[in-house]
Amino acid sequence: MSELALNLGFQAQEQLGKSAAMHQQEDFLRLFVRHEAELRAFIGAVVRDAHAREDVFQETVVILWREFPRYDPGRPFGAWARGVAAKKLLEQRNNQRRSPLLCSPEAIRALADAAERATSDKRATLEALEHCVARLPDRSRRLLAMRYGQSQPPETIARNLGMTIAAVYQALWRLRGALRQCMRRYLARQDAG
Amino acid sequence: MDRRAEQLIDKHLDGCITQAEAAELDRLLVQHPAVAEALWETAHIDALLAIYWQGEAAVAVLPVRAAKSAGPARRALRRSLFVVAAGVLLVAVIIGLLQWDQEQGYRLMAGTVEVAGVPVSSITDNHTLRVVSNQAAVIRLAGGSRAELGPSTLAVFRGRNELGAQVIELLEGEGRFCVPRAAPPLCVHTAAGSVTAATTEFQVKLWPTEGKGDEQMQFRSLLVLAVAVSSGMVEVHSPDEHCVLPAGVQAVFGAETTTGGKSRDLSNWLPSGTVLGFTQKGAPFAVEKVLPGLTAALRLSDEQKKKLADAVDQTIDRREVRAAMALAKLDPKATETQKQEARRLVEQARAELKKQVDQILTAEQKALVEKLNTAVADAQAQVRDAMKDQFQALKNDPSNKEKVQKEYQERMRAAVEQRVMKLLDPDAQAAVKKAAAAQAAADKSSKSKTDDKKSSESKADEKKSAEGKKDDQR
Repeated sequence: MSELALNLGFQAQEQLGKSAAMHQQEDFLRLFVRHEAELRAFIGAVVRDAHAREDVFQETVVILWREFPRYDPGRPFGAWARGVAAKKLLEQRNNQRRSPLLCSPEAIRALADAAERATSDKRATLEALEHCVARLPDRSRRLLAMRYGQSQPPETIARNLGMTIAAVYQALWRLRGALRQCMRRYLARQDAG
Repeated sequence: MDRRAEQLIDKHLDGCITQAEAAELDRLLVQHPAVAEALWETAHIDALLAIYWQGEAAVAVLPVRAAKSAGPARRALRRSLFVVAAGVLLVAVIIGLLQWDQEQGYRLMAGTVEVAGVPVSSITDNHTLRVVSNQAAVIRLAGGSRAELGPSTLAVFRGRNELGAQVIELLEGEGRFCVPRAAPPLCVHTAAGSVTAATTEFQVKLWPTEGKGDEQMQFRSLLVLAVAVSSGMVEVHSPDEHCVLPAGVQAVFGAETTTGGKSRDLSNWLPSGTVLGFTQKGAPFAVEKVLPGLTAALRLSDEQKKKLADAVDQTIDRREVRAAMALAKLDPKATETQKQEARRLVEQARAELKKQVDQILTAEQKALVEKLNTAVADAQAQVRDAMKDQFQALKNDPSNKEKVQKEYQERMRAAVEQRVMKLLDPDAQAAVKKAAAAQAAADKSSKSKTDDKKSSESKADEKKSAEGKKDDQR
């Protein structure tokens, strides 16, 4: 503990003396918060087990923070973060074959390229989501809240809502499809307007 | 994209894909960019939905009840990104509360603590305890959380707050806290701020600043709070700010200096190119990132450095200016008028800094900055021109992007070095080389510290794990 405490104290002294370190922390947090959803999406597209996904996410964030002093601000942060995450995913894939990881290295690269091509404005996308979710029936919103707000597995949702598991899966597929279409239309209208 | 690919994506995202189907989807992702784009789009919506609902829960504290009107949803999405992050944490706190197994009480696992000078074997709420042994006192809390309080630490266990979180008041000293899944959230309260966490491991250190440290340090606050997060994330409320720290981050609170009170080792400090008037396309430019140590070419005197440091503190580094920078860039709920006002304040601070720097630098130094700016721009144009085919090729095949970027940076550094060294006299050249070497050594030391810390943490984890196994065996 004393060694860690020493590190912490050293860090504190450094930060007291140098505003640059504080700025660096602020810069990191600013960029990280802006790109968090994309990073989660990228990792989530590959790892579906919630715990494994969170582990990969956290380990990626630690690496991003450690490597941030070497980050070139001329490069897009999102792409850099996805690169780090991709390496972590591949590492995870090699180390833990039991993990429900989807992708081969080639597929991970294809996914990273797809993310690179998708130029989304987070705020506009969230607005589109808000617009579309607000138009869903109460029952659908409740289903989404249970799945995404409380991370309930489909089995639990089925029990709570008196549905069959297959019906829950079916409803989630339809909802995601409907949201995707609705958001595309909304964003296209915003672009046109 | 056909229906089959959509089905596979949905199955994958719902975690019910078979191995054969996963292999099929993998193949489709590689062969058809449209499938990769669809998976990305759907996963992105998935992540946004999680943020949306968790943000909603943070606002309403009723995660399941979706409002009939669009009002609450609109409010949730208007919140700042920091509040969204705080929302995620709050949801974790709520889940922690829901899963709490109602266990009560504390158990002293190791170390010695005393209350009012008397060693005690059990810990009760609202009594100030002091760790008296040379080793940390390890205390197990309800739900399996652990608090390792360092020697001489003073703390009070306060039971639960109105939200059900366990509260420890740290009066002095340090502690390492671990909150496992399913344990109730933990709030470490100190006079310099409070740290709230669920499912995380973090370290808190608190120490008084009065009578310690450099005489130049004039702290407004008497206590400094340092927080380091090993896993998960924590929310910190200090008198001056509210923020969420993710894993891997260390931060200090309550240590604000009075104006101009920051201490710098001026002999080793070099202002950034952004302060000294270096520009790129008209914007302030950190030229030292292209060629480390380049700003040393100006051979600033200690007096100039002190004046520059003061100028930075009094202009762009002022708390209100930094807050304005954050508001202008970050806060989605800020009105256009607020943003304009924030930008105006930042511009004003930059203009004031420029004015002060203009008075601090000599005419020769300013002329040298101009020459170096031109040399850097010329070098950049030369390298870009030489590599234009490679950049063009990247548009069709981005797989070499990192390699090309690395080559660009290396060639840029060489070209800039070649051009600027011609402009410098031998003393200035030596100053740049010395500063670059010092920077490299500092970077190396910083990396080594990080590695050492990682190694010591790893050893500590191994030790803890071994101790845990011993405990289990017992």
